Amino acid sequence: MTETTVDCSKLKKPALIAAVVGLALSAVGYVTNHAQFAQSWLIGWNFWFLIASGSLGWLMIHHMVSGRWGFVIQRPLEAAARTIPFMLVLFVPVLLSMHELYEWTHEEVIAHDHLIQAKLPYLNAPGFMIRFGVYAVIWIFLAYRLSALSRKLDQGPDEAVVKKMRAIAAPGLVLYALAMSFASFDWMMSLEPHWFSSIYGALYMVAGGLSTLLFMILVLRRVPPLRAVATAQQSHDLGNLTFAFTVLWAYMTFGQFLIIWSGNLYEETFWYLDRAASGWLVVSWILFGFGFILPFFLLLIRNNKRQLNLLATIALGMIAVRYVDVYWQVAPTFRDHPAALSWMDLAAWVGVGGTFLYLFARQLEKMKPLNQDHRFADFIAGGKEGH
Amino acid sequence: MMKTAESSRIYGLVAEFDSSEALLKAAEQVRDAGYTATDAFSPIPVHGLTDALGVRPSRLSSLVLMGGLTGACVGLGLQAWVSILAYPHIISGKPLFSWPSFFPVVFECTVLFAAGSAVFGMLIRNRLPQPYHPVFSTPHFEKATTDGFFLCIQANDPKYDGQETMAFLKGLRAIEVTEVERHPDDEDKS
Repeated sequence: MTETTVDCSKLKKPALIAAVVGLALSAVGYVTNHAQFAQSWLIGWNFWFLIASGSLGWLMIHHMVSGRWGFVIQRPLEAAARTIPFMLVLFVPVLLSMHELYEWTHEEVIAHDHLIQAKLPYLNAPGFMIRFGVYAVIWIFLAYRLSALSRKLDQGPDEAVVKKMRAIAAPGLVLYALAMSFASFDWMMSLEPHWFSSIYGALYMVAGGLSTLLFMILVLRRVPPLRAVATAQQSHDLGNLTFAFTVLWAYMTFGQFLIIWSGNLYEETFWYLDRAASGWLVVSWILFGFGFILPFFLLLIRNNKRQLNLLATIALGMIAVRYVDVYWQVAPTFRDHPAALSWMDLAAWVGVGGTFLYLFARQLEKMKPLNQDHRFADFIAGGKEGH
Repeated sequence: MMKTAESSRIYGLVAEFDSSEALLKAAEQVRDAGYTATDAFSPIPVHGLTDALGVRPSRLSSLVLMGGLTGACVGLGLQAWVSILAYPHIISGKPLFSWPSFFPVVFECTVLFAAGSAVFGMLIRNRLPQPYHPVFSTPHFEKATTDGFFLCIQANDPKYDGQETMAFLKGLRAIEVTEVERHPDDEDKS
């Protein structure tokens, strides 16, 4: 294995500038128009947090199945997972904006609303904060423990460490999935406290898994030492996973819609009626067309997956749709028309994104870019012989 | 005249190798020598063998796509016909053409037709089932299911020339090269 380190200077500087400018503008927004800021921040933050948390999920799946697709992106996954504590610090503005975001914190609304009253044992501000703390502990422990163990492998192959990572990943995935589900109920679903969907947590995780894959494809394309070892087969594997997750995301998104549409009960349908209203209907169709139909056919074509530069181009387009998806989940609660965009939407996205990318680059350049796991070494050696 | 009769009686030459590496190398050299009507037989999947043989990409994928799209149309058409023309009942106040509820069946029909096209397309294009194949008469050919690796150059290859091709294959470190006839019975009669 070569011992080159990752040169992230090209990413770090623009990311730092973006972070500073974006966060400064968002701070101005926080002061001048708190309500607008809160929405923009929740959307922008979610887009990036899904990548950081999704990286932890993929990392644990990789430790469980040790597929060849995972070895090349293992270090970037670890770097992204290690940004989770900082990303959670960036959630504090949401905690400070609960009144602006969540109707169930309004005393006068609760007083006249039996349904929210019935949900109060779960939906209350202290509970929201405590649960946030629990999620944070779970994610941070898993991310730091697993990446610390993985770093031990840099000294040489050690089957015991590999087994230990697997032993953490298995129960870790269960805890992770529970934390992600409840986090999605708290942060996203409770924006409409009357509405409920039992698949919402899984959908949130699948959307995050897809965002992460797209981000990792872009990282693989951009980071030279990784690009050098990525074979057409690995590109193909990641392309296939992206394809699978695109279909899974569409399946769940549509499944949720179909069940609510069939049931036709007002306490559920209003969520979709909001999204079928004049302007939002266009966004819904954009999501269907560019979130599913177009990537489905593009990713069916073998060559598009085997050539990393083609796959990265598709990933870039698809990651833009991920933002539309988050926007579509959150904004209809507050905005009658999707075109009611604010400069703060951009500021929050750039600010959180710059911070995430800067931290990601800092973590990645401290690591050996390639996994030193002996299984990976065997795999690379095998690859040269044509197996 | 004799030569035509002779070459039509011969199916091709089959060379046996002792390892997948040897087979892979031989396949590359056979391809580079310009042979196109070739085939290889191995007990295990040999990565890169299709490239080494110069096999063109399968056209099966477009057949499967066509099958899938046909399935989608059939599924949609069936439900639209049933619920709009054949049995126009209003169910739970929804329009007759309630497309969201059609999706699962459209999806299942797409998968069914695509999978059917893949399986039957593969069988037909490979001319399967095929109880007898000329290469079966190669000595030790049953080793192709355990530890033997075989490479065949068919007689209908434009570059095929009995003596020359035989010498060429022998030069590729083959354990044994056999001329295989179309029908094994011919041998008994002659």
